Amino acid sequence: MGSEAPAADMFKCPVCNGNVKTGPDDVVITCTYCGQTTTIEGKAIGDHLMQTAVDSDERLAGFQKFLDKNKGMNKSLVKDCQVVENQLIMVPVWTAKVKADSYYKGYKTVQVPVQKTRTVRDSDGNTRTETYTDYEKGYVPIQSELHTDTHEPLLARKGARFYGLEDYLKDVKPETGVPYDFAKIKDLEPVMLNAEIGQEEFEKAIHGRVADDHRAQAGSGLTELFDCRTTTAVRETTYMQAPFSLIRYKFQGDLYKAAVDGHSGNVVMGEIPITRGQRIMWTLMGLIGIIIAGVGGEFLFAGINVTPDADMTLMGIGALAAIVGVLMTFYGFRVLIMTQRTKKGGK
Amino acid sequence: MARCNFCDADFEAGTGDLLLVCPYCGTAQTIDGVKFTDHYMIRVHYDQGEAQTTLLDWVSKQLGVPDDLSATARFLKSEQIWYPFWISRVDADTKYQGLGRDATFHSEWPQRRGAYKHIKYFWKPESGEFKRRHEINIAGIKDIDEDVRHHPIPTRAKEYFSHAHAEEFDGKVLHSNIGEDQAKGLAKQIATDRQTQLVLKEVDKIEQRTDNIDVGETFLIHVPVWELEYRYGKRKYKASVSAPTGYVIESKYPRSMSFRAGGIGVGLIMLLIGAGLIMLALDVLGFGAMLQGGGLISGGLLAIIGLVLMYKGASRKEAKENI
Repeated sequence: MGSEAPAADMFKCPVCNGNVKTGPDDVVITCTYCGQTTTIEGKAIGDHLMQTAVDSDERLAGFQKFLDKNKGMNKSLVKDCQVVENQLIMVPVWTAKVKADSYYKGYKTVQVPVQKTRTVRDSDGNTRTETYTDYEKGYVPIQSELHTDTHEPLLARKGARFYGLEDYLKDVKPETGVPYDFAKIKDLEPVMLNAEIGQEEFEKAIHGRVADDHRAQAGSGLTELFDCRTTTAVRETTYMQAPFSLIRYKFQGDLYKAAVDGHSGNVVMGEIPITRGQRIMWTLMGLIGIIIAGVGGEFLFAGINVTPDADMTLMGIGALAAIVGVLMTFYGFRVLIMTQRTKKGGK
Repeated sequence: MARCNFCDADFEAGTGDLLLVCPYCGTAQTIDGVKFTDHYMIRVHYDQGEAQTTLLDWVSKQLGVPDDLSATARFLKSEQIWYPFWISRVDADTKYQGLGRDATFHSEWPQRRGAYKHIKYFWKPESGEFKRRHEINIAGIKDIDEDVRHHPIPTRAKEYFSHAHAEEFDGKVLHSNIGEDQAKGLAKQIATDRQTQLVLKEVDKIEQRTDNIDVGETFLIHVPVWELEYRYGKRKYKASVSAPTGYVIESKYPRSMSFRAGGIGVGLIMLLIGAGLIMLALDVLGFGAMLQGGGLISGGLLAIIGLVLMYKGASRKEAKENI
């Protein structure tokens, strides 16, 4: 073999002189020996936090609790599932509080009820005038403001994402962190990821994200948004390392996954298998739904045709049954053709 | 054929390839033999066997996949392909002047205060500035599968490219059709387009703009993907599995005959019953209208579900893992 490209970079920790292995794009480095976190130039970074992590057994317990809660009639799910992957990853996250103020301008349209009169000819050939309500378009100018003060986390890796990321990041808050101490997590053998996005870049990115959110929110109720100006103020920028784990498990030979918050051990989001028995049950429910909808339709029809006046009770019962039946059919057959369920984990 | 400027070996290279990776010494170089140093990779975490097992276990949960797939599928091809991507960081600063729409409102509706009968648009000069940092990701080869192209770069540590690592898995490292300058040019173009999109949200007509687009750090990264092909029954199915994370990027998969027959058969029966009920309700057949309310609702539901089941039974399938 000829010359090999250089191995991963080495970074010398300015505090303990330890050699830390780093990736080429890393800009914030955590010394794996003493936990000192510095920029690649060796400048200390303020308020560096981490969330403590629970061990693999506790993550497993949280995962089983999640399965148990979502097992439905599949009683054997917890017992028969076989976990094949449960690796802890320390994920680099930038968080900040962002106060954003927007001024926006636009308009929306409304229907304005207008009383009008018209001339009608009745069956005897006489003409008379009657009043009726017509709806005309009205334009409502809107000038308003939006003020938010939100917690904004961002994964400090370029172009990367993973299963359950958005929901996971919501709980990565500085309040839940403790000063970084590698010794507290060392025994859990985590994969450490350094940040590829620096503080300045984070603050720029987060401004753009909040401004875009405001624009979307301002525009959502309007027919047209003429103008939207947002100013943001970013404060309390904090670098945190947060534990995450992707559990992969097999059930009846098929592979599923769940995203686990490594701090609490709770599942953030996960996939739940649907067994044959469950599919049959839901399909049965769908079929019953068709019958109920049909019976409802009959009542509805009968109610409408009662002379001289429609029977409101009969119509009400009929309409209700028809709606319930249609919903049962929809949900029943939806389960029949679903691959799996995706469930969010509760607290 | 190309000759490596560093180890003098001859190796295969296509006519469109501009940035080459020597298969013997692993040095990334331009066609003129200049070494390219910003060359990275993501390490393989799933070997061939693990990728195959993961694929089959994942695919077997898809709708209508035969139960014996994991046991009887035979892999015909397992190739590890290293796809090149160019990643650029672009700082863009756009100052613009233009016309934005605004409006005045006339004659208030007495019935509803605050709402007006007429709206009159006018153009209003506006100006502003957008400062954004864009990260642009460009595939290094032209005919790349769309799903591989858009699969996110895995959350694994980036490392300097190691040819020995790719060789461990008999990986095939693809040359890039795009050189560094061209990648930077494209990145600049894409960033400019994104800035234009931003400006067009503020103004409808851009009258003047000054762009300061600075293409910063640009690197080449090779991402390994297992390109697999397996046989089940008489057919062959293709799949791509991410080698760093084991995610199934996409996979074609078989559906069992019993599933197809069941789907089409049951679907057809439901469709026929549904159509029959609707015809009875509308009195198409001339027997006199029967079950007029229930027939329409139940018949409609049955017909819709029948069609869905028939479609599920008949369609060929491809699945992707949601990330």
